[in-house]
Amino acid sequence: MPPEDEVRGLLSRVVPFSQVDGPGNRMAIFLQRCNLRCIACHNPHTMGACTGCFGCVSRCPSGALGAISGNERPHYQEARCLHCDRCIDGCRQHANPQSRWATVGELVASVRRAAPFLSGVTVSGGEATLQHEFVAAFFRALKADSELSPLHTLVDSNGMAKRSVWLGLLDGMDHAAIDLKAFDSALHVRLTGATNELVKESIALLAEQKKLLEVRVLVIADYNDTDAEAAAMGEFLARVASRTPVRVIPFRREGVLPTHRALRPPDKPSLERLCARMVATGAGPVRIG
Amino acid sequence: MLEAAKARGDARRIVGDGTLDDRQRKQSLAALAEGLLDYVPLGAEASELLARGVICDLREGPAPYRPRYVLPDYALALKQGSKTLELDPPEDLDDALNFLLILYGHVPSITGYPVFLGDLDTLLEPFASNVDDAALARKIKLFLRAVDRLLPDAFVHATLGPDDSRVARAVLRAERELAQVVPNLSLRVDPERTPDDLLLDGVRTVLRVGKPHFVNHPLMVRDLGERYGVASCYNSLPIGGGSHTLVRLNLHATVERFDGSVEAYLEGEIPRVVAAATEVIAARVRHVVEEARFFEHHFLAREGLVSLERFSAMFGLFALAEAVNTLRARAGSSGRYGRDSSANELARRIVARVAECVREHPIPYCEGNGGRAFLHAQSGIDGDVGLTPGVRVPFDDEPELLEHILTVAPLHGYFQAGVSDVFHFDETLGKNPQAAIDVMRGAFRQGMRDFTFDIANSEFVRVTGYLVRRSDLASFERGGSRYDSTVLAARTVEQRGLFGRRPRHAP
Repeated sequence: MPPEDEVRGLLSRVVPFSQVDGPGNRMAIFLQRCNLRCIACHNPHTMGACTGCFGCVSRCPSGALGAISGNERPHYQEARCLHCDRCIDGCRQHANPQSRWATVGELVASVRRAAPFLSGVTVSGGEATLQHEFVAAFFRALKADSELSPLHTLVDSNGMAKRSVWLGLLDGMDHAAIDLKAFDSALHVRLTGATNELVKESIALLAEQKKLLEVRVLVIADYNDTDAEAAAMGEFLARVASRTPVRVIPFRREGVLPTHRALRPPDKPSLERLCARMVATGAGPVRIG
Repeated sequence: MLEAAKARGDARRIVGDGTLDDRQRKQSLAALAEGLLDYVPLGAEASELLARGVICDLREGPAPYRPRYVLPDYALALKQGSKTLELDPPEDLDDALNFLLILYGHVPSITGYPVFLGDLDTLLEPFASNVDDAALARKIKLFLRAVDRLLPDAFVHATLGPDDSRVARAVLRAERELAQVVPNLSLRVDPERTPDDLLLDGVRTVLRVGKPHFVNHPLMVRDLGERYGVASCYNSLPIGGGSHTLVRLNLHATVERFDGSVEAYLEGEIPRVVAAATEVIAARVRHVVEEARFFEHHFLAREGLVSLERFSAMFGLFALAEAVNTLRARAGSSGRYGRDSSANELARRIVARVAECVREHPIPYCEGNGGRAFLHAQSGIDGDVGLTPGVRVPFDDEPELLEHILTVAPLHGYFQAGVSDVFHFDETLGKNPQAAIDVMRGAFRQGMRDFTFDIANSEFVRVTGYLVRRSDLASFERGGSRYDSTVLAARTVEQRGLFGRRPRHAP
């Protein structure tokens, strides 16, 4: 095992200042790779892992991607990148040619630079828990640092992580926010490719540990916008996470893969009905957006 | 004869200008008349640099007859009343509000309207103790409405803070409800005194109406003492004083014809142009004080509401970005200000050197700053094409917000009389206003003097330093505007392509 600050993670993107990834101004760290294949994903290029086909190199107009002998993946040079995203759009693995490996030490140094301006740090993705050892080491490093320990640490996750993963993160993680794509398992498979027992267990565990910041529900018209779904979800949350705030997010087409562009957002009245339903069944405070 | 004919022609144009109302035409005619005077006496070098636009007097006029910015001591006025205005010291809130409105109508400045209305909360809170919340809200709202209608100019500026108070909250709330351009507002922020809750109120007000500016109170006190006000765009000056004049240095022009090395520029050229610019300032100051004798005849001075000892002058600079980029390009580097650490370091050296040289040139009647001019990062006027205001990073070179702040923050400390960058936040800030407070607190810790932002796609747009409403711009083309400042805004927005800018903080 390398020393903690040399543990490496595969980062898709780091946004130094984000106002949409948790409370306050936060550094948002998006990790590469995901264990779900949601049809409604708005950043599908974070799903996959590079297989070394080098197809992106020829797509690049500025020579920012190149082959280096002995390397299994293309080498990316940010200084030459025009951010045209042709490499991203063309990657058949939904990997991200602009992703890069970074050590805990390097990431902590980035946080330090931004720290005077931050409420906290959010690790998202892709699916953050796929690299849980990296995330745990990163959070421990933050909490051990007198300057950085006040920063609030948040994991944004799809909940597809075992109990032992969460227990390993508890050390340095202040909270997690979990997406519940659907309550009905078959519906969940249609939306994400996997069943949802693990997600429900994660929600229950995190709530019990008082680490659940919020539950998010992405509502897609004609899929999970039914009264039955809202009621079932509400009852479940009332049982295992009765005080946890719920955020209901209407689906938006931006960034979604072309094959799924037929998906539609729910209309305002049905969104409001869903929220009312959830509240009525005893779920925590519900807000839209 | 030619001059008289030209003046007649200009007057004819003003009188026939359908976009100006009668008051605005009168202002323009007055400026025209003023412009007929001979320029204050200058040596050859200063005259040449002025003619070439290296030094610029912002169309202040060849021989000013009153100070550019006047910041009356309103607290003193409320305490002692005004003999000239036949006003006793006010005894209740209605009296105080009425008193201030009357007094505002008698405060001169370069714009024709007062540029400073006072620290409204500090002035009024003592009168608010026996007024209930509903009455306070109504009186403040009516007061601010009167201010906007009687003083229709975006350069009219009031301050609040750094402490929380009922009046501060009432002002912010009224501003959100009134949605008017005037007054410009600054909320003074002291990390030891200003509660997050008041800042949230301020941020929510920005979300609605693009104001207030947020100002680093401890840094201001360090440079100006406790009694300072913010006037016009973001000009910080002593209360009971002000600035006789503002003359600015076009840093890009200083570099354009200069042939030598960066070291020679810093060592020899900067001192040369600064000396010439301070000569222009001194000549203008002398005219206001000795020829126009403002401080002898104006009642504000006679009643002690302003005093010569609290006046100084402003030494402005702009186009730092273009100067730096030109020097770096000549040195064979493609590194640009805002994007490259060597360029940023050169920027800092230039500013530090200018500040040093300004300190070496005493100017008469500037006791408000120990006999020296204040440094000011001038935000540009319409007509500055291809030249970036103050020490800002040009739009196209703006890096991410973190880097942007880290680039400009080290420079803010030099500009006692004001400096401002304008950041754009995305509308999603409305769901998470704490994010702006986090950035602001960090920015002040890094030494920023002023933190100003507006919201992408908002009705209220922060032009270089003052506000305009999109709807006023739209209707301006058809029939002019109630606000004097809309004219300037319309020209500036067009020249700078302001609406093409992308929000810094987009998700």
